Amino acid sequence: MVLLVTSDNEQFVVEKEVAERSVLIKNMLEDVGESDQPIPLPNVSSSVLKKVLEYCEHHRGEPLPTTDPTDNEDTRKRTTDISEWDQKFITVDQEMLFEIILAANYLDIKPLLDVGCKTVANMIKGKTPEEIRKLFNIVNDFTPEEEAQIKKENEWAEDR
Amino acid sequence: MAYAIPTDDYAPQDHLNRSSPRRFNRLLTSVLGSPFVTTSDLPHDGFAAMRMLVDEDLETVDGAFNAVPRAETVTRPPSPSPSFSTDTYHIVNWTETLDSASSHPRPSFSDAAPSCSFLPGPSRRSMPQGYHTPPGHPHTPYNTIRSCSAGSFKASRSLGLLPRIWEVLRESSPGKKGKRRFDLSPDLWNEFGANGYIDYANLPPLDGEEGELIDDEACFIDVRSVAGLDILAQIPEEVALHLMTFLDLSDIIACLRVSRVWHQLASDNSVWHSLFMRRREDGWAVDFRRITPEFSSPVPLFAYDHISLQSRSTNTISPLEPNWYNLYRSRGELDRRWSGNAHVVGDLEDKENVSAWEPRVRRLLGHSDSVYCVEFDSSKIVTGSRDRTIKVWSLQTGRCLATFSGHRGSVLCLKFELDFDLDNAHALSEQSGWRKGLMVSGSSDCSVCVWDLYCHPAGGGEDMAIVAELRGILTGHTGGVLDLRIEKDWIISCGKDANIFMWDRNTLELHRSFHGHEGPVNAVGVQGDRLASASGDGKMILWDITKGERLRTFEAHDRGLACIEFKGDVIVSGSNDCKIKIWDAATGECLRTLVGHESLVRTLSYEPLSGRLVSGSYDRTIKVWDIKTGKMIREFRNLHLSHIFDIKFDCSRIVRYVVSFARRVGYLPLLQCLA
Repeated sequence: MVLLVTSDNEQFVVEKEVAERSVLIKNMLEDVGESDQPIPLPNVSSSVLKKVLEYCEHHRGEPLPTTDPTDNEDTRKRTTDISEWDQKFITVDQEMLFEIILAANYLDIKPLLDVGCKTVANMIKGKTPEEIRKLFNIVNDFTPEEEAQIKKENEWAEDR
Repeated sequence: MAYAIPTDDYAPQDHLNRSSPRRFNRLLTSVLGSPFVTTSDLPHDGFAAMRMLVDEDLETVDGAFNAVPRAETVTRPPSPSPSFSTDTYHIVNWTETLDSASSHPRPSFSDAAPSCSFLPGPSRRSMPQGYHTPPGHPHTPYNTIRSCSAGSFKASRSLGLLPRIWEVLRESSPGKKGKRRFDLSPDLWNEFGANGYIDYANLPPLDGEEGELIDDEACFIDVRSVAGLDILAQIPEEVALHLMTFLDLSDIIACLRVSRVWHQLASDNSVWHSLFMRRREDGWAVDFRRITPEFSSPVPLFAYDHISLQSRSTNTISPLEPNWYNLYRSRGELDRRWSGNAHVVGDLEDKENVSAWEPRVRRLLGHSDSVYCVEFDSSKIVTGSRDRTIKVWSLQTGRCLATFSGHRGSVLCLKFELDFDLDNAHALSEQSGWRKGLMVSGSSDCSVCVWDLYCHPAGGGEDMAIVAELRGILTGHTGGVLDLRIEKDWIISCGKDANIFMWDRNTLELHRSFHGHEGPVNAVGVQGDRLASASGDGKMILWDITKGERLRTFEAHDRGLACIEFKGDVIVSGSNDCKIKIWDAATGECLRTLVGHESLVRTLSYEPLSGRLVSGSYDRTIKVWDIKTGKMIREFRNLHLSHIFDIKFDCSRIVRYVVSFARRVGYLPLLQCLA
């Protein structure tokens, strides 16, 4: 069992196998060795960790993604498909989604990071710039001239 | 280091306003908008059911303007088991149960409802232990909440309702301090359980997130749009860039136009690198040796003066790194030109653009007789002619750089090491700049000439310098030498005498010969250890080079074969029967037959990455095919006045040449830009 302490001082006792979905924690445990010392996670709040642990629990035992440098992901076809369970799991509001991405990045849980990124990507897909701004509450800080110029510069990519 | 928590203007008053009674009315009026009535909850057709029930047991909700059948608003079957009641729920204080020793008072207990946990009865067994999971019980509570609520919707409607409400509450509360979305007292929950009746009037506002019921089949509004948060701008840059690699071209283009921060992210070279690499199956690839300054210059992606995007420096590309945006754009344009689709920008009738895809033809004049063969790389074109000479031309300027004589007959075929002058391994010495490469040529005089080519790169406005030295002559053929290949260790030649010879590239000695054809061997192709040969007798034979054995004989065409291309595991053959056939080298199966030429198919050039095949025929046309679909993409007519003898192309251009009376080389730059 591993003891995790969140930013808001909550403690979670988690099975080692589950906690080690996080490469950060896994490496930490390998470096420090077995210990009863709590692992502080100052970047993760309890509500987010709960969610992250839910993911880790569900995916326990699955092989960790390889970090083989020859496995060049650039050449692989990028898919934004998300498994059914993950899809349900990640159906959260934008803020939680944001927090999950940050936590997955910090904890180094690549599959979860990908689920989060794909979810945001799916939200962006097929939308116009204005729709994207509306969705993410973004202020258009371009001048009309700049906007026109960027549009013109990228006309080549239209109707492809 | 703590990440920045986004500022949140989600004040309690705010969501009170959002879900004003009027809005709630509207939601309930339309079945689709109601959080508690979903089509799946209704017995049959939702609307029909509603209408049917209008006169029955109606319940006034939310100020009495809207009536909803009670049976539908409260999805509660008569005798569910287990049913909701207060005692099926436990409020669990993690900290207290878990860690009484450490005596941390739970700081966020008073924060909001979600900091405690209501659990339906069935999962109680694991609850009191909090996150202490007993060894034989893999289901930890954080999992149980979800699986219980998600799994029981259909089975038990009563059980489905409350967990779903809970879901909404839980999901919408990321535990931000001072961010209370719900003021749900335990009393209210008791009320729910006690009389199984929801008092809508007193229900706290759902703050516009009703649609978050995850399996609400009746509502397709993206609830995330309610509380927008510029996620991309707030996550670390490398994560944002990673995220963008999941987007397609059109989405990236949209991102460029969202805001300055998004523009900067979407302009990043890594994003375009990823986009480019994903076009690999369309044959997109880059020969880095051939990257020109245009595609690697350290200028910003967007060279506009009046926009000073913040931290432009991160967008600057190092001199050695290719500019993937430009590469992508050019490569896309190239594909358009190959397919012949005019690129019309917007509604503009830009004549220049429309005609841009029409190939410009440059004619290289110099040979005094027919040109039989052509080879080219990124800087030079080499031609062999019936006038017994070999000429080297500058690809950029079209000027004739050198003429080599050696053969006593027509030069029928030639090969050289492509782009040897770009490879440092071929450098003669560090300072001189001269590079050495190999060229072989075959002639009707029955000989093969082996040349050492010396090349000095262009510079200072001067064309490159190129000279050739005859290293040796391979004799053995008793007829004209019709085709050649240069391999790593071997030179392979085939001839009118039906022979195929394999020569040692270094010693120039004959190593092996292959016998089997009954007519002239017009063409050979080599892939690894396999050699394919095509003969005028109509047969094609696949050989094992190392053992000298015949692997397979293809009774390929009705009439003689004029040309083949062997790339990857595919052999393409062109014949006097006007057909082109595509073969699987491993199985011997004919994959496709391309019909269209009206005369002998004299020459083929195939590029496996893009699946593009260019064929030239005695019918004076050049056709471009897509091997994947078997369709002809486009056709060039009237470019040559006589037979086409040889064609070569690469992704960026077609070079082909013609002969006879014309005596000239046509050079067809589709777009001079890219390797």
